[in-house]
Order: sequence, then structure tokens, then C-alpha cells
Amino acid sequence: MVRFLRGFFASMAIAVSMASTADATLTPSLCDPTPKYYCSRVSFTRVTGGYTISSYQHRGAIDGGADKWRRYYVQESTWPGGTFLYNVPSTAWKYNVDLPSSYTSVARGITYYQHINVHFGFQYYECVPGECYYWWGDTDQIMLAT
Amino acid sequence: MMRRWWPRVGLGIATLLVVAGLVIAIQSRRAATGSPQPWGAFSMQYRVMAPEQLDPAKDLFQVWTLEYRNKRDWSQTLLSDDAYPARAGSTERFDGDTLAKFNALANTTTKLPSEEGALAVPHRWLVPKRVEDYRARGFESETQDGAGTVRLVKQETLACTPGEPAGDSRCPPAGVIDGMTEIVVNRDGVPQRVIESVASRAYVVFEVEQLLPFP
Repeated sequence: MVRFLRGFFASMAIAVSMASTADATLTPSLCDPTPKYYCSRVSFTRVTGGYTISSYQHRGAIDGGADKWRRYYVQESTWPGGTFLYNVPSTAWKYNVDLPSSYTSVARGITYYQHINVHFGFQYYECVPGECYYWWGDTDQIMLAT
Repeated sequence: MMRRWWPRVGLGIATLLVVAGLVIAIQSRRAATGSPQPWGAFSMQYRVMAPEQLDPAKDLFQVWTLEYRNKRDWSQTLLSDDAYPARAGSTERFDGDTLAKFNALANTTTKLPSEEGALAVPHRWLVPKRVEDYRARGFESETQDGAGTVRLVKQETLACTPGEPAGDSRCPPAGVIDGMTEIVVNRDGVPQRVIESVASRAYVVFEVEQLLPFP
């Protein structure tokens, strides 16, 4: 229980910062620390008792390490229940080395009246002689709270 | 006369069967495992920067414990998470075909099938690579000690968006910043420590806390 509450309050850091604006708002960009590999954010608008997600936005890059990358999914699930709600499918493979200056935006347009967890998954392929491997961008989680 | 033949024919047939069996076994083994195993089995506890850096005043980390049996069979558990403590207990398991991820924070399980014959790795810094593979990607290498530890360094110029965060500072108007990646691997090629630097700010993004041969 204590562990859950600590996680809840940590996640509220994002939720509270979002609640400060009534108009269309962007969550803070969540990027890998450097940032070299990925960033993601959510555009939403507050409505009474909930919020409308207008779009998901992301960008990524191989930075010379991987051979290619793609957005594998954006998942919505209830939080903390974990019930799956919706999945934004994969993009085509991309080969850009640096993080581009602009975000790719995926329109959503849905209103929720409950907490949800938005989970971005970035997949990277990297081949060495004899084998190809894939790894995941440490998937960002953005908690949206009513 | 016939009595002399039969033992020899029988022995010959038996030898052929044994050889054929060995060939089939070796071929099956190769088909099942692909190319040779680059790393031996090990258990590892490692620390990485958390995906979400919610507090600009301090770096937030995750600690994972990994059981790496081979490149087609590994599992890991998240022991602690500074960003979202409730995410501890998350697990990832790869069986050679499917990566099953349980996210303890969201309480979700995702199964991701392998595509294009590629194999999942536990973390971006745990791709089984040789020093030559790093060199092919622009790293310079130097042997650090008699134990075979190798330090790999890559200097780079990173594109950034002017005004947006870049390390601890903001991306300058020119839209480029200096970066560096430093990887220390042990004699088996297993990364022990990775430091990524952006505009002179160094991040220890991956660090092995314990590494033991798997029993």
C-alpha cells in the first residue's frame, strides 16, 4: 500500500502540472535523459470531470547505435486497474540519426472520466554479424488523472 | 562365410546410424540456436536511469536483476524505481520467440512476438556485441587492464532543437551540442558501465552492480 501511494504521488507530479491549464495543454516532454533516442508527450484539454486527449506526439532517432527504429505502440489502459483500452499501431521503420526538431502527431480525440496510463513503446533494431537484436526505448509512462 | 559378414555389416550399419544421428542432432541444435552464443550464462544486477526524470534536481534510477541463460532465454525483474516506486516488481521474460512484459505500475501484461528473426535484449546496452562491432559504429577502443577490460569512446555532435532542454542546459541557437558515449566492457564483451555526456554533463546511464556466472 505504501509502495502504491508513493507511486501515486510521484505520478501526480505530472497530473498536477497538467491540471493548471484549462485550455489545450501539452504534458511535459518525456525523453531519454540525454536526450538522443526518443521523446513523447500528450496534448489534452480539460473538460468537467475529465479530459479529452487530442493527440499523441513523439519523435525518435537511432543516433548511430541502432539500425532503425519505430514507434511500436501507444497504449491506453485504466489506472491503477490495468484494463486495456486502446492501442495506437506501429509506424513504418525510420532511419534518421538525430532527433528531428518536429514531433509526429497522432490524432486521438477521446474523452475520459477516469485515470488512465499512456504508455509509449519505441522499438529499435540493431544487427551485428550473424544476428539481429531488438531493444525497447524505456517506454515512457504518462499518467493522466481526472 | 555368411557368419563372418553379418557382424561387419551390422557394425557398419550401426556406425552409419550413429553418424547420421549426430549430424541430425548438430543440425537441429544449430537451427534452434542460430549463430553461436556470444555470452555465457550470468546473473546481473544493474542500474539504469529511469525513463522519466521527474526531478531536475537529481537523477532517478531503476535497479534490475537479470538472469541471462542465453540470448534466447532470459528474464529480469525491476527491484526498485526512483521515478515510480510502484513500478518495482515489473518483469520481462524472453523465450526466443516472444517477449512478455508485465508492468507493475499499470498492471498490464504485453506480449511482443519477435519479427524478422531478431532477438530481444534486456536493455539497449545489453546487445551482445564484440569490440569490433563497436568500432564499426565509430567507437575508439583501448584496453584498460590485464583483465581484458576495454574502454570504448565515441565523440559526436548531436542535433537538438534550439531552446529545448539538452542535458542540464538549453539547446543553443545553432542547434548542435557536443556529446560523448563511453562504454566499459569486460573481457567477455559484457558492458559494465556506460556514460553518456551531453554538453559536458555526464550521465551514468548504465552500471553493473553485481555480475555472477549463472549456476
